[in-house]
Amino acid sequence: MVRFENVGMRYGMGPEILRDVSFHLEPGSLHFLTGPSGAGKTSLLKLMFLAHKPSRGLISMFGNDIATTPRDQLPGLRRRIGVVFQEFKLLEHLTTYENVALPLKVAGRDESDYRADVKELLTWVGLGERMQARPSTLSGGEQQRAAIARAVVGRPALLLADEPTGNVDPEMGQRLLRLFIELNRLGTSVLIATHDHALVESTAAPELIIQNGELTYRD
Amino acid sequence: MTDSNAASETGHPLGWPEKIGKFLQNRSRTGIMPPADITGATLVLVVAAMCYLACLALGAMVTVTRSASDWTAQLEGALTIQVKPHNEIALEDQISAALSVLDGTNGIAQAQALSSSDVRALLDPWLGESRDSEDLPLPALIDVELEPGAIVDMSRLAERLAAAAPGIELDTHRQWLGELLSAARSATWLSIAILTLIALTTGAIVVFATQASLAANHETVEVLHLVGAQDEFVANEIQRHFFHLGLRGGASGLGAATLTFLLISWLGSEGGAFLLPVPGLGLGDYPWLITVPAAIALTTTAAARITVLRALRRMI
Repeated sequence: MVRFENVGMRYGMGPEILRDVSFHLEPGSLHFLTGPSGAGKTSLLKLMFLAHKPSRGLISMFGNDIATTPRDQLPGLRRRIGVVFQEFKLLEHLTTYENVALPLKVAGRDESDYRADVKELLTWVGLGERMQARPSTLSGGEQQRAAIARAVVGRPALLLADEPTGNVDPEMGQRLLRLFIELNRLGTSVLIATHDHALVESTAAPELIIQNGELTYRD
Repeated sequence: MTDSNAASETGHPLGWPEKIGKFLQNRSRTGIMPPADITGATLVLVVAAMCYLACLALGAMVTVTRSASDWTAQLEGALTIQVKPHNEIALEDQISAALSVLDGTNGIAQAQALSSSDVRALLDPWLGESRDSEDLPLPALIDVELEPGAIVDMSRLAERLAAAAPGIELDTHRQWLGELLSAARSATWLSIAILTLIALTTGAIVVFATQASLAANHETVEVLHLVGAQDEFVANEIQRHFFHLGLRGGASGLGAATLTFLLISWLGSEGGAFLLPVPGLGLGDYPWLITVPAAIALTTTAAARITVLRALRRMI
């Protein structure tokens, strides 16, 4: 599903942030991505959600070599990836409902088809009463849950989450982890970047550890 | 958004005013780009000013073109023969000689000598209604009407008139009309140049405004891009936003220009406001002005679209 071979990445003419990164995520797998701050977790995720190009190496997503895939086919690949951004990236001028429904709207689906699903999901993550609220009026935890809901609403084949439980209490953190595990059980591959060792230890999922731009694998 | 179908969900049929209201309400709420900000308000103002100037230029062009056409139509079928008093021959004999030459010329529909009172009446606007003009040695005038489509050899006719009696001159109005039409053509080209300049300036302003808007809404564009929006989708959202701004500015400019033309017509009809008669816009000319805001809205939309697509293509 996701294959990295000897991937390197740098920003502009700067030093290499990632060096010789190689790994493979199987369909339906659940992994954690850990490592100290500044080690390159977010940069690796950027490559995976196709926001950045590698400076070298091979990246294959869903069987497509990203270097040779025509640009107009990349949006189709992105729709198969759900992303929970560390800084949430909720759009301030849209309501919580509209933010969560955004991937479905962008995919061209009619609102009448997805309205009930989006409401149900928002209720599930505890935002049922906050559907019409603007993101700026939500607490940090509520914003995070809205960001997670937006990432999973399209039932993506791959879910990438950057510190998804960073702003919620342990109980909500466990609840969100159960949501990820449930999605994984339904066939979604999940990669969770986190500092939260308790979260990692609560499952038996393998761990990708990144340190100084280099990746190691721990079962 | 969620209550957009409330009326239909309750089973009550909507009347057409409610349907239009719902449609407009939904249209305004389904936009993904943020509503107009301070950049948008400034752009509306600039587009309104550009539209106003373009309407004035187009209105001037339409007026000049129509006037030139009227002058041509009025003068192309007419000649004037001036008969100056001469010591050797009576004025009546000069007129008779001229009329007999005209009688023998093909293509002349009608030739009529103006009475001395008619000739003096022509001078009244310049000399006033003073009786002093009765003592002036005024030339006689013969008004000649050509048959429609007739081709008359004017230089040959002038020679025959000059040979018929002394003091007879043919005025074909061609020189005067030629200079007038040349001035009208210059005014038309000037208007076209102004319209082109306005279109280019508007395009450039919109490109800058779009770039500023993209910078201000970078996160929105980035999120749309990352959740899988095609470039076309993002471009459509942004160009719709700018189309509405262009249309609002264009409509304001058109309204101001229409008021200006109505004011000019009113002042012109009152007389005394201008040294020259100002024809103003006819009722049939006003629809031409509608093309200006339409063209400006399209220019705005196209400039925004091209700018957005270029910016998006720089992203992976």
